[in-house]
Amino acid sequence: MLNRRDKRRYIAVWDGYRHYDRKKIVEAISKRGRELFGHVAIENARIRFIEENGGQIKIMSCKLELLSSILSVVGLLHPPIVLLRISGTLKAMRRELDKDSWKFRRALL
Amino acid sequence: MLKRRDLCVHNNDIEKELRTAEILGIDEIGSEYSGTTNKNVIYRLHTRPAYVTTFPYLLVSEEIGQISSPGLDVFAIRDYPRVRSVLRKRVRRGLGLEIFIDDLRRAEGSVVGKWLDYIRQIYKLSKSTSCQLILSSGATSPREMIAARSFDTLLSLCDIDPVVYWKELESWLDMKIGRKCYIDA
Repeated sequence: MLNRRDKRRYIAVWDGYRHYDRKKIVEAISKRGRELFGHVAIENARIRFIEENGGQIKIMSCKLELLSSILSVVGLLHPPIVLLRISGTLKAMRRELDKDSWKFRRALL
Repeated sequence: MLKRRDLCVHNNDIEKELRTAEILGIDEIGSEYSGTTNKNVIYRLHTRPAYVTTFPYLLVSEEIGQISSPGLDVFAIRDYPRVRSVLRKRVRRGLGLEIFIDDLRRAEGSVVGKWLDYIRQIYKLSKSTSCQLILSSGATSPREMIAARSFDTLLSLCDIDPVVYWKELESWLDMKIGRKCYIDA
């Protein structure tokens, strides 16, 4: 049997209200996700907190096959968080956030 | 190219909201008129202006009693079960039926599930009555705005093809705003 690693995607979100810490944000997404898609789907999504980028921007990862479910959950969280970027690798995500940092500062902070 | 629009972002700091919209992949936003105009904003008015305007606008109401008024462009649905029967009987051709994602956000999980079903029903109704479903964020600040990608996944979740939705919204807006007499400044 082939032992392939799951494909994952990294998502960056803006927590403008600074409501969530690394534990709370995964819990909030999982809770809303369970309400909408059920326990099995959300467990399969394997949501992980990766890092914080400048306090209000948080990076998480999830399995690619459940990305669309996670994106809709992100849009339905309260207090709200805003989806900023999606990337296939953490390196590319950091690069993109770095490249657009002046834009984020002007608009978000 | 598809243009994505969030037709209800409440006006706190329109410059900041426009900059946030650009980051989020939203091409145009809808907001209240506060005396000044900006590019890429469609203004939401509650009464028809008495003069020719220099900005594009939509007449918006949440009052079910106004659903048949001739100038109304958008009816915002806040409590679908309450207005469902009146809506089915009195909805006019070409009316925009707007739902705020902010209402879904604030609801409990089971109610969100119901709302998603309501959106499907409203989409069906809008198809059969030549109306336009409008999904807006209802954000009161840039912190509450919704990214284009999130809009797409929410539409797919309601069995609506995002590409079809954005195209239909564009041609509906062309029809609504193009018909009004305003001077493009």
